[in-house]
Amino acid sequence: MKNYKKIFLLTALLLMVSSKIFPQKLTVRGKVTDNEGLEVIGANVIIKNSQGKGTITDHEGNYVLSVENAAKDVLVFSYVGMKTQEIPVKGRTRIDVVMEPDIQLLSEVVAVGYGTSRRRDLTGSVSSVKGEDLLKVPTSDILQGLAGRVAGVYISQTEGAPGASISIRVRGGISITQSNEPLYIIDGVPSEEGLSSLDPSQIESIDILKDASSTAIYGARGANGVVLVTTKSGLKDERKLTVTVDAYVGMKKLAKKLPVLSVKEFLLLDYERRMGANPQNGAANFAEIYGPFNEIDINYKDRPGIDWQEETLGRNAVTQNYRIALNGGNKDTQYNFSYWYFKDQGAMVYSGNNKNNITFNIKHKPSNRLTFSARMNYDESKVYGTGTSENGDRFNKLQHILQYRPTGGIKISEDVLLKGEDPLLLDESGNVMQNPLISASEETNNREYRTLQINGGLTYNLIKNLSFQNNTGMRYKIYRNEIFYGDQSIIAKRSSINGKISNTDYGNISTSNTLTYNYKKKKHRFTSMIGQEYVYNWNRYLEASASNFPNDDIGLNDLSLGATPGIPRSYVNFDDKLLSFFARVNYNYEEKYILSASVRADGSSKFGEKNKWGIFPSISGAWRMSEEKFIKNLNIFSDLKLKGGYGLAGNNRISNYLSLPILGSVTYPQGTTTKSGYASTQIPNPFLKWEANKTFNLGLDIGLLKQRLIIIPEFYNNRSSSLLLNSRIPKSSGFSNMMRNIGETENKGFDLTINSINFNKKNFEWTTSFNISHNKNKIRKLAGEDYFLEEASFGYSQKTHLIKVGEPLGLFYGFVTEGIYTVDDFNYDPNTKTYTLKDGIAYYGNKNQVKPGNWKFKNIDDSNDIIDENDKTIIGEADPKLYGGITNDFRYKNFDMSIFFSFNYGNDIFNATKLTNSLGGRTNKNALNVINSSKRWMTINQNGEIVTDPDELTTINENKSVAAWYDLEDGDKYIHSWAVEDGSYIRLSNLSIGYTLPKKISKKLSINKLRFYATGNNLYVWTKYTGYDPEVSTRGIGITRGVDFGAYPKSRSVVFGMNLTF
Amino acid sequence: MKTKYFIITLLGLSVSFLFPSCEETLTENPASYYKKENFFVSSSNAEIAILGIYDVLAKIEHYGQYEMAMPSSDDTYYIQGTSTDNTRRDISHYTLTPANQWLEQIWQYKYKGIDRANFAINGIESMSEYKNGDQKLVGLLAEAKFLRALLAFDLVKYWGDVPFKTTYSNSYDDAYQPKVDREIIYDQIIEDLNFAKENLPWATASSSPERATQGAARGLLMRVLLQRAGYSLKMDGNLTRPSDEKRNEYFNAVIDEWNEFQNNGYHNFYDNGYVELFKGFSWGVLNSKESLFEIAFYSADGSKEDSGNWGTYNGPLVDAPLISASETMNYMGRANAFFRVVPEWKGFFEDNDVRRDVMVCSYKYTWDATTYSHKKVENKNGKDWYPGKWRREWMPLGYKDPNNTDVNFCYLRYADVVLMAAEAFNEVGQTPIAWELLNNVRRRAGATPITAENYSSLMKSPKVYDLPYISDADEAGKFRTALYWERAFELAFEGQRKYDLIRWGILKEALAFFNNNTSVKIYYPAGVNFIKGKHELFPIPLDEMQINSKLGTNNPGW
Repeated sequence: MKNYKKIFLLTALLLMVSSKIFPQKLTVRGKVTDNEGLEVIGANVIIKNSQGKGTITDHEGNYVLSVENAAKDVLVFSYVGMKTQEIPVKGRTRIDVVMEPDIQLLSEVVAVGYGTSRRRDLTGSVSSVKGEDLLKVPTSDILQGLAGRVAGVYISQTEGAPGASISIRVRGGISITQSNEPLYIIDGVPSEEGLSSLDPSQIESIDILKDASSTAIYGARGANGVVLVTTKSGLKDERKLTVTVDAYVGMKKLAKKLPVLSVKEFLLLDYERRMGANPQNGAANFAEIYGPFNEIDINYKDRPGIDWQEETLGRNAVTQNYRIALNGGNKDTQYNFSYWYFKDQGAMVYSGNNKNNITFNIKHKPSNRLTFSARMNYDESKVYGTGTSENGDRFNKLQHILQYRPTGGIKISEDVLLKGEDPLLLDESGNVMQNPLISASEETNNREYRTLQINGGLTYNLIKNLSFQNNTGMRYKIYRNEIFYGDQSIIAKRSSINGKISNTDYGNISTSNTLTYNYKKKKHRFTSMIGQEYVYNWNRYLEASASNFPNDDIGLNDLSLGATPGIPRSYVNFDDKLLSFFARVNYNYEEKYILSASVRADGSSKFGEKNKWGIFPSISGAWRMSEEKFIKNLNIFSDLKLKGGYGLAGNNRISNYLSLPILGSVTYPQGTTTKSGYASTQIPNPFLKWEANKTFNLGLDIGLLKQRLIIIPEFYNNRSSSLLLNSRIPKSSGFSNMMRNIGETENKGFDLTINSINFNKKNFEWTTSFNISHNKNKIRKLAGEDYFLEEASFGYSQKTHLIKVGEPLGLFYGFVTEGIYTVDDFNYDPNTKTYTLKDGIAYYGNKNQVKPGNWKFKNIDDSNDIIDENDKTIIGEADPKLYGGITNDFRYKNFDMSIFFSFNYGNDIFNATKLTNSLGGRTNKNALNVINSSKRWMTINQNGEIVTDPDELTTINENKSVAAWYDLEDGDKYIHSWAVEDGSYIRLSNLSIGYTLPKKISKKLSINKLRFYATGNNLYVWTKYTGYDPEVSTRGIGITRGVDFGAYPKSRSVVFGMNLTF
Repeated sequence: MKTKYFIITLLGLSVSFLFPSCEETLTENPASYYKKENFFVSSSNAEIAILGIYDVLAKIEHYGQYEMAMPSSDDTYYIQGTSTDNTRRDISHYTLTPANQWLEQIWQYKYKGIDRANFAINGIESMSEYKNGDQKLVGLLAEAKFLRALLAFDLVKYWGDVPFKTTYSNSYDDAYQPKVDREIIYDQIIEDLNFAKENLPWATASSSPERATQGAARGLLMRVLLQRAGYSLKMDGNLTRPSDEKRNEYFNAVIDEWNEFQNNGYHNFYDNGYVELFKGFSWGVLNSKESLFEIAFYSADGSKEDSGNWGTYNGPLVDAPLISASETMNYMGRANAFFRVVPEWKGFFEDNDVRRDVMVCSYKYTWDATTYSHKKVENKNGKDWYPGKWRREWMPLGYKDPNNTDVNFCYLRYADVVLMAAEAFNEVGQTPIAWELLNNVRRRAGATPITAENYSSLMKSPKVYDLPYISDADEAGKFRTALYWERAFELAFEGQRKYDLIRWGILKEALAFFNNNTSVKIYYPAGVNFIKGKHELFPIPLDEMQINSKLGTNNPGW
């Protein structure tokens, strides 16, 4: 104690003396570095209140400055994008400063493939999303949270079902027939399965490389963009363990129902078609089931009927999410462990998704020169339920839901109809429709995914500026699909109780090694990297099935119960290998001029023997104009960068063995057995190679108001060639298709990102992020032909899509609906009461069968009066003209709020659900309300009499827009523009409100942070589209995109949760 | 410490640059598939290549179902329903367009089979064992040639001049072939069948009709020769037939084949009669005596892969039984009955002719919930009468699938051979032998043999129609008239009728005539829609015309 006092006194004395006695000049030296230890060149160092007296740092970040008053002067360090610091000299001769970033974006570090880069050094197109933004959407798949948040990246879910596939296209997607999925890299290791096995909360950031100058480093896999995911590692600065608990519970409810005919309208339709099909007995047949026509009002006034959508899809589905994460560490070792449980009921009965996930991350630095990291992730996911969109024909479940009749008539109560099978359908030969509640419970469709991923890496600084890095990973995944048709299912009734298990194993090994060399001298900064990578994927498949189970009690748990075994199937594929070498150089002069070039050589086992290796070069550059004096003098821009790049990347997403002449197994029956045969499966193509995408990217990074407003416009022109088309060849060859590198497409467009900090006060913050993109796709070349037609199958046996040179992908093709034939189009013969189409009026099919009330199609080919193939044309376009999103984040004191809208403009949807569920001619089946009696051409009057008189027919059918029941029969299957609708929308995707406990209180409770929140998802959609949801594509996301057939409806959800850290 | 890290790094570097560095890594060695170049190494491999050709026949998209629509409508049957479907109905009612989807599939399957046959033929011929005269390989080669001939013959019948080659497609350029004149294709078919007949063994009681035998090759050769001798629609739009000299040559060749059948003596009518023959087809009885060649269908679990739709798609209606899923082995499955017979045929038969109630089935089975069983119900209206040669009720009890069955399609049987021989004898002026053969067929069926005395009562109205398009002024003409009826009585729905009428040059006339005289006029519009000089050939599928510019113009009228 004594000593302390002494020292204190002495110090005080000294201070007093110095301040009084030594007010003198001093030369101060120091080095300015950023938070990564890189020197800050050109930082301003001035003496406060000295009218700008000062200096700037040199190329090594050093400065030398004389101060007048070593005791009182204060130095001000400033640099664009960094927080300005004021540091009193206090007599010191050396003051080193570490500058902290001010605005995240400029000094943010982004992953660029085999390395990282400061955003300000980027020369290509890279968009980044922070992990926390993705967490706002309560989902098990991160991509869903990514939708609408990244300029130039179009993400849409094919339908609303649990586990529904998500389509992602970066800048349009190059391929015509192959996958347009980007390449996913998680912590340096490629992931073939996307991101579905990742826990969203473990994501630190996602960086999306969009142009080939960025993706060429990934060579034959980079053509559709690269999604780089960086996962969270432990905490550096806290030695103690931090525990984070995140829990939420939510409710989900169908966002919209499709209006179907009311009971009364259903009865009217049923009466009308019975009368039409059988004028003598129709009324009597109807009366037997539903009571007399004139008593409908009396019999049914208290019977609203069954709402089958409500029964099957209308439940309040519960979502639960629990997550616990532990992390901690010190400056040498950091770790992170998390467990996540997610349980999500689907809107449809007996459907949902369960998920378990464990992640462990560790990072250790045994010496200054070595860093080691490892990550383990085990994920288990089960998606169950039959869904609504499977079966592109009359087996389709949504059709059953929409068409099951709403009332049982006078003999059967609604209650009986609800619980059992409709006897009217049972009497119908070949009927495949059944009570949708029964089929949902009797049909099992489980999809189970188990993924184990372990990867690790090390970074070793060999000598100064030269470091070696290795990333090695292994993944094992099993996908098991169980399909079982129980006792009461229609499939079992048609054949027998049967089931199938199929198992696919996937394995992956990948390793990459890079050497990175940094060199710096005066104004020159130089980084070079060379590397090598090896990726090996394998998979194998096994399927077993059995039928004639005696009952459905044990089912698939013992396949041997099935009396008749099915043919087992299997295959193995141990041949998918990729071997690569690559290099990249970056050169930076004076922080103003940046050049980057890369090249990669990829050898792939999938390619033909004549084209095993591909070379993928790129070059790009940037000019940081804001570093130029003349721009600085303008005092407008805090950042201004012009960047441009050109590169070549490839897409190797093709199956194995396509280049080889191979034989596959077939069978031919012999008596009561089958024998195996072998037959050629393809014409070999030794020239088969990757798809090439040459992209040109030009962009600006504009920072204004000290980086409070950032605008990033980018333009691109991508030309893809050698596209792998499973090109049609004459069938007289014995084959219908052959894989060839023949197609060419072009994508031109722009992305615009605007980020702005509107308010940044202590108690109130408000930021806005906005992005909008436009892409114009054009097919430049097909396999020799000018066009071909493709069918999105939904039971119509008609082509629906046109793929044509000079046009974009995703064109709908069919007749143009011109309303319906009216009485005026016909000559009426009062004696026979028949209508004959007037000469000169175009017709489809048999002229004598055309009646008033039939659909009328535009006669495009005017050469004759017949509507045929020549009168089909483009009737819609699936891809949007513009898409994007806008997020506003607010914080007021302890409250925070985030509101996110996404939008799509200018796309069409082919509403096959409408087409297939408005077939009013189907006996005993209900239909969509679009064909109700006020819209449908009617053939009966209010008294239930068949009308043939032209005047009366005209009167009862004024302003009708939908064909009569007889043109909506099963047999008449036209693709026409009536089914094409505008798919533009604005969606209130996400609204979150949170409250964080004030620090004072949480401290008392000895917790770090406690936040309560409520999040609403898909709260409202503004659209003209009449289907469930305009974000839909159930019949493929490639050539036959944009079709809504039986799509599982989307739900509106609200979750309540809390986030606790202690 | 430092050295350790350094070693790790060096190790990492060297491993990564050395271990996967050779080109071999990038070579694919498929383990689940054979590679073509090393396939033909043993006779067992050669045999599975042959089964690969057969596989093409036994497909729903081919002889399992789609092929059923191709020879309809003729004067005996049609497909129910007249609204357009771009598949079966349009074919049957002659309202099809070149975009017809079934047509496209049929076209594809014919060529798929031919390419597989070409591959097998090429492969076997290149084997050293074959060159050394290995008999098994010679036999397999003969089977391949038989199948190539069968498929090529279908092509020529349906489309006339078509692309045709005898090498397999192994490169992009191979895929584009121009049309070949049908006479050249016929030459190749006959050459193939000659090879087949010389190198395949005759059937025996223990052989299966599901694989080609000498009888199948000879019978098919007779069929080919007769078709070639008859009318066909040429590219100029005219229906013409070869010169009398050529025709004579073909007829004599048919007679030569008949003599070979006689010499061998195994093939004959089925021992248990006509009705049992057809019941046997549905039941799954394999007889090699009357069946010269059958296309086989069988699947353990009713899956589509190896099943057909004989007896369900083409057969009398059976309602689905409303039973529990575990009872499917105890009840007859449903049959959705897409075909209808022209009902007047029932009256054309003599009462004692057992073929009548096989050809025309006037009843259906409905499900009776009260007795929990199927009930036989007579259809009063002739529009609901079905072709009855294949039936659910004749199949073993139980069902595996509502549509798919194990019923084989008999492609060629002895009765046809007899009638073909009879036709040839008549055309070369040996009408008495022709009558004798024809009457043999009638005798087997219980029908009265035709004589000069009873000709008018059996082959003229009112028993049957007086045919305006066949003259029976002379003896040969009388025989032709009798053969017209007899081939329908005997072989209706078996794929031959439409092509009989075409080679006789009277398809349009027959369709129009029956349309005028039938009670099912509105359901059976073929006679109205058929255009002579167009519908004798199918259009080459639209798709194919677009892709292959070497094809030139489509068939006449399309």
